[in-house]
Amino acid sequence: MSETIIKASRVGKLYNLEQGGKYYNLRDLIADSPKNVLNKYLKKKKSKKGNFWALKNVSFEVKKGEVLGVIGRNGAGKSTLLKILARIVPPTTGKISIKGRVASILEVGTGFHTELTGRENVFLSGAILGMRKEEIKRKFDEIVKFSDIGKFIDMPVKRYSSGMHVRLAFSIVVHLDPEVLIIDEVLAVGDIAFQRKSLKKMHSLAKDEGRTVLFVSHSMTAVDSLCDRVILLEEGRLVAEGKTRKVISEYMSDYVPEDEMPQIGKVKSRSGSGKVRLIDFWMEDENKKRISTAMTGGQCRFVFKFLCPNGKPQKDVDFGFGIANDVGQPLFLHYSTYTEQELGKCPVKGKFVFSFDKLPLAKGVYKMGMRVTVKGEEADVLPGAVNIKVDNGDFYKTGLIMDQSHSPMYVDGSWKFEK
Amino acid sequence: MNKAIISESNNGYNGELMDRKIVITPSKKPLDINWHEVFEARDLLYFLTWRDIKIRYKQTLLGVAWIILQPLVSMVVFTIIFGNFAKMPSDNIPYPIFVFIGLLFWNFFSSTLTSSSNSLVSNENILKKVYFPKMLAPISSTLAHIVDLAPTLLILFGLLLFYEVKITLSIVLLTPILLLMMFVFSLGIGFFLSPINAKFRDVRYILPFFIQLMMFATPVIYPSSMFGGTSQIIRVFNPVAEAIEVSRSGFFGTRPMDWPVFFASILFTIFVFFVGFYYFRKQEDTFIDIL
Repeated sequence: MSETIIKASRVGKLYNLEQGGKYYNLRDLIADSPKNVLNKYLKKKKSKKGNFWALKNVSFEVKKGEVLGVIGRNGAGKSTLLKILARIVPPTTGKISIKGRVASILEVGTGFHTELTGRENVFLSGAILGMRKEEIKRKFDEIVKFSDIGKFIDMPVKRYSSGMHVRLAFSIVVHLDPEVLIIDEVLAVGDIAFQRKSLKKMHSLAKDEGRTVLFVSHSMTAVDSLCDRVILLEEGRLVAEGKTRKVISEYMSDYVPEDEMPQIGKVKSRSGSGKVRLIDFWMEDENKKRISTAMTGGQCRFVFKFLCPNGKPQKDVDFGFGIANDVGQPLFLHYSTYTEQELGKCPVKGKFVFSFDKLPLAKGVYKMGMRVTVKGEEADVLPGAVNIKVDNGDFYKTGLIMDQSHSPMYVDGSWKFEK
Repeated sequence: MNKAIISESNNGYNGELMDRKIVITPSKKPLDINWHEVFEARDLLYFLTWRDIKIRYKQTLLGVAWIILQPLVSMVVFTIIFGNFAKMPSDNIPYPIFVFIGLLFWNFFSSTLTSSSNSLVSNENILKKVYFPKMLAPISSTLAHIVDLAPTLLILFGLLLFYEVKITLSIVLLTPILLLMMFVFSLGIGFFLSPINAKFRDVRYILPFFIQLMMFATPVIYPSSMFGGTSQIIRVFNPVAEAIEVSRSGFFGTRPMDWPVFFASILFTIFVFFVGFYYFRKQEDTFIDIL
């Protein structure tokens, strides 16, 4: 139905660390050349020790109008893949075919020369990014308008503030109109207002104008809101591919370092009778995958594993937790009795699970305390036992990432104008 | 407004878009050049050249005046030192114009060679971030120096008038050919040296030294007659020497035109160009990783 725009098959990139990794001087070449000649003569194979596959056998397809995200840890090969797609470096193996005009934006302000004026840079950078002279002329006024540079357009860019610099550069980027856009983490520059503006523009480029976009980012929230599909790279290999949410949760769960997981067992300052003990805590996403970081506005589950040390089921158990900010100011708490869900009969072991439909916490680290009571008597109390990490997410379901740092909480609600 | 513009430009491109397909594969053959792509990048070539010209004299007090001052000042200095003190022979040509012709070709050659050899390193930030035919980097930085020629030629014209030299049709026709020869020669060396420079920054330090040495081997401040019997061989393998010789004898009729040497020198220039170009294309895929 929709045609394939990008098709990559078995793409690989080999780097030779021995030569590329350090500055290789003419002196080194001269010093090495007798050895090289000798090796050639003896038909010795080059040592494979210094070879490193930055990418290996990566195959994928992108359909017209699709936004594909590329995620992975540092060094997973994301940038290498991007550079190959942008034709900056050739692959060592494999083949990629792309249909249509391609614009790759690996940085904001490619080719900007600080000595030149804003006007001159619009033309220069536009041409470097693949625009024709006529096209730039035609769009010039619009570019300047979008950037809010105004009268400073004829000033050398070196006198611009960094904000102005980025705004001008970005407005050139959004006025390119290629069929295929390859974007690196350029969105992560500028202030929050600018990041929102650029993300919004990217959104409309992809969704409203039907561009095919390949987007590489470390920001799961940006990937989550922009991409239809995601591929996950690990050590140069494609390890997962599929729906954005699914792959992101896989990534988030698989790559949680042990020490970043909240550890309940190590908590010393606990009190209570000990009839019920909490032994583990973790967060899950809606698919019951463990996560180390929850997202603002996201569905998530807090799972508290417990057991009764004496091996006897307990009666009338109430469980609750409270969230406080990083300085200990309580924000909210929740007990199972609040929703009349007191456990009349509690088994010997199991899990208390609390589900958030929309996590109301803003980005940050929070302290969580827990308390279990049996017949009103404290059984296990862990004040401020674990830290919870929250990252920006789309709380209001507008397709945009919220990023407000003034308040730790979000609330639902709506606005109406009345006279 | 925005929408309208985008759809309009899409219409304009649709025809060529349908059949446009980029195929990315491991290294290509050096002479397998996508000429269509190079042609498409002509606006970029224009802007890169224009940038190099623009930034050269930015934030200088005298600005463009430097283009005129540079050859004038060196002419005066060279005339005083070599014409007056050292009493350098000049085939009975007035020394200022004698050395000016030498400097005209020499400066054009050395400045284009320096910037084309350095072009990959100086365009590093773009080459690493966006794709374009990489051969544009040396070409654009060489083209930028052609602009410098106009005022220099104007001064030459003034000097010729001052010394009441008869300007013949043949020299008017020959001068552009000679300049083109310099351009092709230095671009060829630049093609060869720029990938090496990307790999070994040593080139940057060797090159000025090499250029200085080569100037002594070129009849800039002395006449080519000083070479004696080896003159012809030197002129074939040093097209700069040949260009200067042809130009001087063309203006002043000191010697008849030596066509075989001239053509041999042109052939050598073309040979150097293709060797350089071939090497550049061969290295093209690897130097980005090293830059």
